[in-house]
Amino acid sequence: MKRRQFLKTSARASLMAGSAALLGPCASLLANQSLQSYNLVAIKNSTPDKMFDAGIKSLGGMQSFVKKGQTVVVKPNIAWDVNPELAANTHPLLVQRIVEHCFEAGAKKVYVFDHTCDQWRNTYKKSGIEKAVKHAGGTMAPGNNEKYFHPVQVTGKRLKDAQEHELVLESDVFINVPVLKSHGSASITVSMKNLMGIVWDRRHWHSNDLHQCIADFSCYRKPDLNVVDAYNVMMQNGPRGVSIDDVVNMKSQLISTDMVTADTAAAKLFGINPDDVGYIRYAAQQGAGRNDLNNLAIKKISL
Amino acid sequence: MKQSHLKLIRVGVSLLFLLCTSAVFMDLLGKLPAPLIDSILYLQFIPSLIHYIQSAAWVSSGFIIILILTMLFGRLFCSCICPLGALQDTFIRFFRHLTPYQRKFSYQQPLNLLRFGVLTITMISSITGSLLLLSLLDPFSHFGRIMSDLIRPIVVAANNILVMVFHWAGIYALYPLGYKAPAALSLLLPLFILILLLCFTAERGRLFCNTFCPVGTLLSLLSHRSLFKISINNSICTRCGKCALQCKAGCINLKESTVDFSRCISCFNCIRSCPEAAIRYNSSFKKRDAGNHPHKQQRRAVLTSLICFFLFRPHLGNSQPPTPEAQKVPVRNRIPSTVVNEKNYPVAPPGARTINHLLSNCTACHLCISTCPTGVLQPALGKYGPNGFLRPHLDAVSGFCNFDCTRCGDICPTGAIQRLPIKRKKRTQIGKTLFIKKNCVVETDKKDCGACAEHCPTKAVRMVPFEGKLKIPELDNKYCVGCGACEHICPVRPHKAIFVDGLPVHRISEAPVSKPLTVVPMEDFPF
Repeated sequence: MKRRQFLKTSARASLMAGSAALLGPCASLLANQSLQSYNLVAIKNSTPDKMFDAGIKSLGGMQSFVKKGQTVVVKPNIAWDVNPELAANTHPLLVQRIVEHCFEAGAKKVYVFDHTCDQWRNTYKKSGIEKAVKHAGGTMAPGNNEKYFHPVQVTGKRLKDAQEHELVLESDVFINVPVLKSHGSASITVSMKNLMGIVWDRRHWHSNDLHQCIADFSCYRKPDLNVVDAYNVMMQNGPRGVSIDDVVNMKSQLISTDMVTADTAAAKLFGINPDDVGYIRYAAQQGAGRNDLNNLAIKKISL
Repeated sequence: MKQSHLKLIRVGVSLLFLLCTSAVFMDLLGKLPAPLIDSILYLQFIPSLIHYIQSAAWVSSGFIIILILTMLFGRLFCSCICPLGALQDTFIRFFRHLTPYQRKFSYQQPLNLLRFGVLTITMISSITGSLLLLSLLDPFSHFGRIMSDLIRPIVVAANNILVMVFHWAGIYALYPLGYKAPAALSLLLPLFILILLLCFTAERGRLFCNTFCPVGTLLSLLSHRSLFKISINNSICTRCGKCALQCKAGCINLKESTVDFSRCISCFNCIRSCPEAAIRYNSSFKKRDAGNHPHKQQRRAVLTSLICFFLFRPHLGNSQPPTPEAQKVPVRNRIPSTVVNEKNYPVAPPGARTINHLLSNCTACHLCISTCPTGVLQPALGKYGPNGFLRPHLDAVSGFCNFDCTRCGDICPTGAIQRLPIKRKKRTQIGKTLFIKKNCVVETDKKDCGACAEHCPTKAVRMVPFEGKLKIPELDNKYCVGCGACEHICPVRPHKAIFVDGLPVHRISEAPVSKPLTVVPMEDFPF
């Protein structure tokens, strides 16, 4: 009798366990969502800071990404020595808000930098980002001297090695804050292309199959969080832009931990097919992230 | 005011000018506003003179004040205002501390043939359109080149060492400064002058000021008959000789009790040294100078050339086409490029208007080179021909002209690079660009690049569809301003696929226009 009882009990228990697994994500029953629940958060119709507030809340707040006492490095797009309205750089208000959130979550130090294309001191100033970061209590760091960049192995298909900025190598949390805009040779520039600002020798990428190098590096280095600024979007003549006529006030924002997801959604927002963008295609194929938006959990917020 | 205080005042004023002028050249962060720099350099003689000839205005009249000052008080300029003079005084002080005994100067014969000969030849060559000799003798330009070419790299190195220390402690308040080194040969001249001045000051004090300096010699013509002079009161003088020992110009002749005031540089060392107060600075009406005029003839010749210098300024073209240069860097692209970049003219900075204008007005003081934030301005060796030795040109290997920057024109003391309002600067075409398809990595490797179009501030070069899904650069020179961003960033070696050739006469580019966008309002997210 004991053996039969044992077998019956185990059969019932395993049946219960098995059927429980079929129930689906139980976490969705809980009020507070964990960061694993949404692959992408899309927000629209407000200012960059308010959109970020709403977006990060859906992912469990900045505490999900930044723990008390950690150092954070925020990497916006600070490439060109132009005013913020021309949308060639990330909106300073968004960068400011992100830095503020990091400190509220308990960060010890928040660094902000970029390896600019134009003269760096002018660019930091004119983009408005230096002022915004100082206002929030963050530290602007330079990225225009080779001594800050250290060699790393990338082992990609075309990109074998690179020199990466020490702040990205040493900080606890890496937040990537690109601005969505058109790009003469890469079609669009979003999160994966933004990583070109953390390496020293970009020329090598340009002369050795740019799209493949972008994809290779995106397999190697994945930021902890990506926030795509689509508030003002440069629709043509990117990445530097020629005049304010190139800019559309799209009032959107995308947040994701997966660069490929963010870039795929951004491409659709921009109005082009993500499969037409070489580096998005290669990165998805190489497993750097997921581009199948239909199968992903997307939270849409309209303010 | 006691006469013995004159030296103290002189030292104070000369230190002030030395520090302020040095600060202008060492303003590596570009923080000094342009009007302040104008005020500091206002009284510098040759820059002001050249600027005045170009455009007579209050802002360029500093040299007139110096002329009046000299006619009244003697060569105060040489001791108080000239930065090279102040530099020589620091050398003299240094040598004085170095030797175990007090350095002794003595009376020297005037080298009139030399100094008036140099002045005459300099004026003649300047009138006939070549500023080369003037730039090799002008004290302000020498000071500028010593600061900019020799001292600046030391300051940058010191800053970067300090930064390393700070950075080790986690402080990012100070940051490393870049330094784009000019060709080594261009450093030879300031180095040579520095060594020459050290030798001169060690033995004969302010020898340069009374032999080769054209400003010194010019002012000596006026100070010879100035209102206030230094002279010896024979009834009090004991002929102890202390004044002659201290005289840096060697102009006190004790045998005849005369002071050759044309060579006196107004340092007032003599007045301070006299125990009897026998040598004094007073009005020349009190004591007529009984000296003779050995240089009357030369003075006439020089004054005539001075008048000619003011009246006639013919412009002669003297830029020779330079030889094309290949990039001396290790090859990084798969196939080394083959087509050589042939450049006919060097690229002159925006504001120079024409290459001739630059060469007719620039004395190569290197203030623009020192202050250029991207380091694109470099001294030319032979690019402009012999007349353009050490004049600034844009070297796209070192950097590119930042689109929103007008710093060089803002601070040029002679007006060789004119001040341009930013809107006009953005339309000033200083060069035309050429694209060599055979060198381009899109054509040779069949892979995307696009670096040049990325950087172009006016989209004169843009990416157009090529084979398959590739895009290749296409150039429309009417929008190009010649900033060199495309050439600077082109990754191809050894010969770039896109480069800028200078324009001998700068033009106006067409304003870039953006195609109107057809924006579809988005109802919902497209995913």
